[in-house]
Amino acid sequence: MARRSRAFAALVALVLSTWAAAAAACPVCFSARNADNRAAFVETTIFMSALPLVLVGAFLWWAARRIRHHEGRASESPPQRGP
Amino acid sequence: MGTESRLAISRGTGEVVAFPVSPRRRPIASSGVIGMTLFVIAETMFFAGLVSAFTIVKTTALTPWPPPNQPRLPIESTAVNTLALLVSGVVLLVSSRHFARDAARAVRWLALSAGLGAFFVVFQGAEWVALLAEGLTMKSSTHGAFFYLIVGAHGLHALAALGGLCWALLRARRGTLAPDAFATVRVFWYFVVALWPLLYWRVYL
Amino acid sequence: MAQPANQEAPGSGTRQSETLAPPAGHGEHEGFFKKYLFSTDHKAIAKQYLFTGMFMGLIGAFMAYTFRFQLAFPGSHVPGFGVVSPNEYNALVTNHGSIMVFWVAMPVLIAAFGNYLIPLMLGCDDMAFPRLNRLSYQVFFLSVVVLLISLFVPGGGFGGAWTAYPPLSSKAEYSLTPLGSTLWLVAVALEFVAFLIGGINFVTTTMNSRAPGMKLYDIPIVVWMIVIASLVFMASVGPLVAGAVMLLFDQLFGTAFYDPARGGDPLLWQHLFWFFGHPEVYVVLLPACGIVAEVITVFSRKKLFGYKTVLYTAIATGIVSFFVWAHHQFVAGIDPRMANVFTATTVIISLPVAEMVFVLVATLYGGSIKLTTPMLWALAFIAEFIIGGVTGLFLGASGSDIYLHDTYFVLAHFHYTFVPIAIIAVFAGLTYWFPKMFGRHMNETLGKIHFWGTIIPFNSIFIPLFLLGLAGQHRRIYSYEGFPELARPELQQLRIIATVSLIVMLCFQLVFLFNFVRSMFRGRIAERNPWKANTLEWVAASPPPHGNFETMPTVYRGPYEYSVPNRDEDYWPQNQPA
Repeated sequence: MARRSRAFAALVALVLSTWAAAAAACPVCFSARNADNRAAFVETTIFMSALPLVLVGAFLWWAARRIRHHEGRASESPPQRGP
Repeated sequence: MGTESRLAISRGTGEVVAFPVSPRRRPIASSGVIGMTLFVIAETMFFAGLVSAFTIVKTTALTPWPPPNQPRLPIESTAVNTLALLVSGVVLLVSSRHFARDAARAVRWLALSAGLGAFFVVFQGAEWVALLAEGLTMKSSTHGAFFYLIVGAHGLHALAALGGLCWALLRARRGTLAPDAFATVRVFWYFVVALWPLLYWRVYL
Repeated sequence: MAQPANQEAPGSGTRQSETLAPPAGHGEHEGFFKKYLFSTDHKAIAKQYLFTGMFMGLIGAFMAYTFRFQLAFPGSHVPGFGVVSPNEYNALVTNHGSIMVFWVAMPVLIAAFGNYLIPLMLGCDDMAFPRLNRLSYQVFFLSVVVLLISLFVPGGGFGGAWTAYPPLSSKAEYSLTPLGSTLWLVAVALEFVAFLIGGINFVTTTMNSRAPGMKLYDIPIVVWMIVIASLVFMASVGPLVAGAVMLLFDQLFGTAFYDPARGGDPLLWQHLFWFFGHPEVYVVLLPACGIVAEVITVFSRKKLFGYKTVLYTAIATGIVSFFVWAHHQFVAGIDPRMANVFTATTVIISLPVAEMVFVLVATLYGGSIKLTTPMLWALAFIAEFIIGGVTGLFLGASGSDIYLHDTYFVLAHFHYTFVPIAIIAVFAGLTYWFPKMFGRHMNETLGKIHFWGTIIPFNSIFIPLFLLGLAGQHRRIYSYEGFPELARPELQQLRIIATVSLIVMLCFQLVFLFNFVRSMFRGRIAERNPWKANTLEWVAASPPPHGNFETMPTVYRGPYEYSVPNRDEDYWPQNQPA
């Protein structure tokens, strides 16, 4: 239960943090030219951050599956393993 | 790698080396396919960078987008061309299905796939010439600059992949095409094919 | 890989063409050029990378000496260089940064150690693609040549800082170095191509060429680290290459990608650069941590505390490293909502790194510690890197970053991370694997003199710079004489302390060079396993011949079985049957 309430608190903090207004942060935060531009920056940031994880993650998932498959067969006649 | 040393022993002494049945080295897949997949990941990120930059520049444009005084991109004819490239990918898939059992048929499908790929590249080139004549250049606007950069980068990849397909075709005709080399070339061509509709969507539409 | 015994794996015939024609460089009798310039042997390529990296390190160090001298004694004659002009100052600072990151840290940590260790530690005879490996070094060598040429073209070397922000980098009328900036960009791009090829090789080799019996959790940590770093590099370098192409077009063809007056956006470059630039920090950090982990386990004769924890924290670091780059834009202009998120992720990434440090300390706890030279370097890495990591928190928090942005505090912070990574951990690795690389021991006394002569001046260089940064001293300024509040004598004293310490530190590197070269030819002969370590590279002869192992080893256990109870010896090599 403690873990769940902590996760909830973290979620609340995350949501609150997105409420920040430009005026509260810094004078140069107005450099974005319009709402479209701000939205484009947020969208591409999310896209660019997530894409490598998806690509490398998919690759590693595939590799791990194949390796597990091979190691499964290897264990049918295992070499003597120490501790 | 392990293979080479073992083969080197057999080359040097002429003996047949007895390989232990177990335990043994277990490659998880062809090295060529793994290497090419990693390369494709890096390339995908390259195009993601270009497309993201384009997305942002669209919103910082000084004029309405696309710039009204610039020529319109040929959306319809490129759609046809996109279709040609997609069919080429499917044809290559068919070719790979036949490769193990009926090599002659695989070669025919492979030739068709390479032909469609060549059609795509030539068609793109013709469109570029037309657009340049109409006044869309890299310096005329950021629209033109990004168009030529993104489409050109894809075109270069298509040319390289086409070179790979032609190489595979020549080897396959002589019957010396290794299955793994073919698989490696295929991974790169599928990348070129799969990437294009996304670029078409982001750049043309 | 055991091709003949592996018919069922799809695509196991990859190397058919290569078995018909033996790969170049695998013969027994080769000429000098073939052996040293066109070798496909992973050990030869590793040494090529190592020596090139060390050579570039000397150039980078000389540059640091010249501009530090200028800062301490503005306008005076720098011995060995002459008077530093403002343009030269910019070029020196820029190229010092570029060289140390791209031509020293990357080739030595990733390429040299990766090439040397991965096949040996995995128990195979070479990389998966030996000829691509050779190509990788050749492209890298070309990038070195292009970079060195760029320093001597008319107009001088590029001076727009190693981050190359436009418009300074994109317009010749601002940078004043039209040739220098283009050549610099080309050199960086070539260098990325070299490491892309190298990284593909590392990952493929680790997946396909492990010794029989070596499961994923039997792979030594340093190999894991280099593989994870290579994956992070490959997934992050693309956007920077895209940005570099755009920058090159702006320079050469007059396009307007980064020109706001014509519809472009200069901020784009900052995002594309740091999308690579920040993961890059972890690309070099992870192999450094791996080297230190190997050294610490061997010299505390104890099992690595939490092997899987180290592995998972490394993966976590790799993942989070893609979510931190925008903290470089806190001042340049960023959506404040994003600033909050990136502040949080930046602080979060210190957790896995801190965990790695805890694991290393826990490995030390209760061990029978031997303070050899490599161990001293490894311990120094932990101590100094913690200072770098802790000061990073002040910069990650967007509030304090707005004050500290672009001051010497930032500079001191990243030198406290990069010097432990690229210098201290490399010395730990070099002194540790030297017997394997050259078959001889290095001199321990000289090694310890070099150690203390490096560590003490290192701290007295950068602690004054922290103080200067807090006093508000901005980076990339040729002379502070024009700023009354920064030209105060007590601040100038700090600059002089830093510069004198730098000169002392550089002098002590001569001790290392002497020791290194002398030991290569005159050192005490090393046996196969001088440190009594478990990993497979110590099974091979010192130095390992072509093909590495007499008989291909089989692996029976993990790499860190030290001081196992009820055994006579306190180590248990991975290839020894139970």
